Amino acid sequence: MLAISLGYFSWEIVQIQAGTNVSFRYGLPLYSGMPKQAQEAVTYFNAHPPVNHTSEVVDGILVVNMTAYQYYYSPNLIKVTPGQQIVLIINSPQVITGIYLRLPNGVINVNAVPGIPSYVYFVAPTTQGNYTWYEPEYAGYAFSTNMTGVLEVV
Amino acid sequence: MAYTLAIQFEKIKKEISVFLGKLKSFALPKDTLGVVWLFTLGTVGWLIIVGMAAMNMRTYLVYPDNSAGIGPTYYLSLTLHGWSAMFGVVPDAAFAVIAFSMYKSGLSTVNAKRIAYLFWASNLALVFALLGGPDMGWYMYPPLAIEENSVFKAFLIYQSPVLIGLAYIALAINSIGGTIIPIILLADAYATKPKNQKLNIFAAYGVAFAAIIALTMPALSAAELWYALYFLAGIPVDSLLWLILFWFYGHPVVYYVPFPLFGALYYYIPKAAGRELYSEKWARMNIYLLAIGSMLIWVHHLQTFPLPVVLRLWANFATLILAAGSGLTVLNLGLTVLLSNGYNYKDPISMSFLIAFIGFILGGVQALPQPFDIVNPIIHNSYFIVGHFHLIIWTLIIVGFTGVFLDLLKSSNVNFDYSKIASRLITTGILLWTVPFMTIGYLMSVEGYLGMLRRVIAYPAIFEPFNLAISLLAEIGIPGLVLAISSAIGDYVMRKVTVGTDVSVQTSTSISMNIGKEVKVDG
Repeated sequence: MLAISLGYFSWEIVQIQAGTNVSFRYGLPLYSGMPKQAQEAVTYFNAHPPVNHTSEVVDGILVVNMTAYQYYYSPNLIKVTPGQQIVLIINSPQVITGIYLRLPNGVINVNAVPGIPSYVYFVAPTTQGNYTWYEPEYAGYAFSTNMTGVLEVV
Repeated sequence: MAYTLAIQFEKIKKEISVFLGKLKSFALPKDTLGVVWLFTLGTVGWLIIVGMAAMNMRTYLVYPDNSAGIGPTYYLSLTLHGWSAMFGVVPDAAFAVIAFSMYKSGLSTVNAKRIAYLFWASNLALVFALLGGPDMGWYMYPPLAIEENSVFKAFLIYQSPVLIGLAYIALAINSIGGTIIPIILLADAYATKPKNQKLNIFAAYGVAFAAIIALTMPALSAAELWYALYFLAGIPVDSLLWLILFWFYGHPVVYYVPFPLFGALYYYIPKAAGRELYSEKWARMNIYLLAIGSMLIWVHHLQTFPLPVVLRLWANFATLILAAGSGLTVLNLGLTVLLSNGYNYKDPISMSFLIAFIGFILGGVQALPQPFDIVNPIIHNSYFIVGHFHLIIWTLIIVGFTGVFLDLLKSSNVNFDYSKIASRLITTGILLWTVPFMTIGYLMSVEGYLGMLRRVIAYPAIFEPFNLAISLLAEIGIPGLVLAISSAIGDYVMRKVTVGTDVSVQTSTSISMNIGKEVKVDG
């Protein structure tokens, strides 16, 4: 069993160095956890912040700069088209928070720590509708009663 | 008349004096079994608080639309539940099992009094912290745990910086006590180990994991002192660094009781199966896998946090080492039971350890997908996790600890063995506890997989039937444990009277030798 563990560990290192490891490349709440085009969109967004400082479509990718306060999200409504590529930059200035969004094609679940932005890249569902996200980390008395938001696919 | 009153008064005075003497010998025991009893009673006391707080929360959770106004009450219960469990039950139960494992291997706690003083300091410090009305959850994540304003109060009663600072110092005293006790147990084990004689497997696990507790508990003390310094000296707290420090303790702590109990499984299951352990060599080698894995695994609790890839890679590797060790335990014990000529299902101690073992398998299987980065977000912070770790608590820890308690009663009186009726009642009680709570564990995991988040007081209505069923099953299961424990104690007291032994629990079972070591009388 130990040999299997060592073999698996070594294989993961080889894959990470070759840039082919899915587990450690996509889905992590890190800048490096996003695909290259999403990283470029974030870099552009940070270098050229939009007037509203909140969201902008960069090369077809909707970049949203989101802040999680006690006890609300800003913005708490994101309108997208079916199949739209989305990047969330999540800031949490007060306490540790996060976002839990259950979509037909998977679950988005990341935490955000004060002082360190978290990044999420995902593709909007192809089915129109409203998808509610929740705050998954205990951020105070009203985290489950007040802290929600909606991804509106229109 | 006055003469009769004086006689009565003298009689009462004498009885009080005898009672106080017994209380003192219980509170400050002088031998190993006395130490085991002290920590066992500590465990049971905290367990009652844990259960009461849990049932309070379950009452709120049958309603999906609780308002934020419920928050302070609910999260006070949540923190009472968590702190009493993790800072009360876990260390007390771990030290009870470790000390009992030493007793079963002929070792002795020569520093029993020092251990008892630390027991009281540690537990009373926790009581002081709890009296402050903490409601930040047992994780004490920063900066929520140091937030004290109109939006959130980390302590509902202690509201000045000095009092909050003192509460965190009290918690640090609790964890420092929890560091020194295993060091003393280790020193005592070393001092009283017979030369040229191997420790039995139970004590080998007990002593090894006493070392793990002593190595990892200081991380908790450091984290708590950091908070105290924030309030008393204005030292800022770095959230991510605090989390990493906390989890260096926060992960191993979940093994503080299970791993010494693994030693108990290795010790009792072969006896019940009427054969040798399938491989004692595997069992002893396994200590290294479990010890290394449990200590180095800590950041696998932070997969959804922005941690660098290199730390994640390490956490996955450590998790696999730990999984290998746990798998080896299941294989070794499974082969021992399957290759036996019949398991002793009639003995309540044998049944307790078999149920604890099966519970560990069924609860442990749920842990397998958790360390992987692409799977973890599906279940992180959901009731899947709550279901998983509670399954381990309800089966391996509580039923396994019940098994140790049953043998502790037997060890406390050489003439005592469970009657047929008591054995049946104990086994029935354990099953009545295990079946509903096993169902609860899986219900929690299913609702968690479907999206029920943990620590919430408001949740989507689709989860209401799950939560109703969970609360109802908990009401059904709790009397099972009460039945098992009370049947054992009842049988012990009744039969003790019948056989006419009235020697005290602390001293009846050990024979003092001139080197200050006890001789085990059972096993």
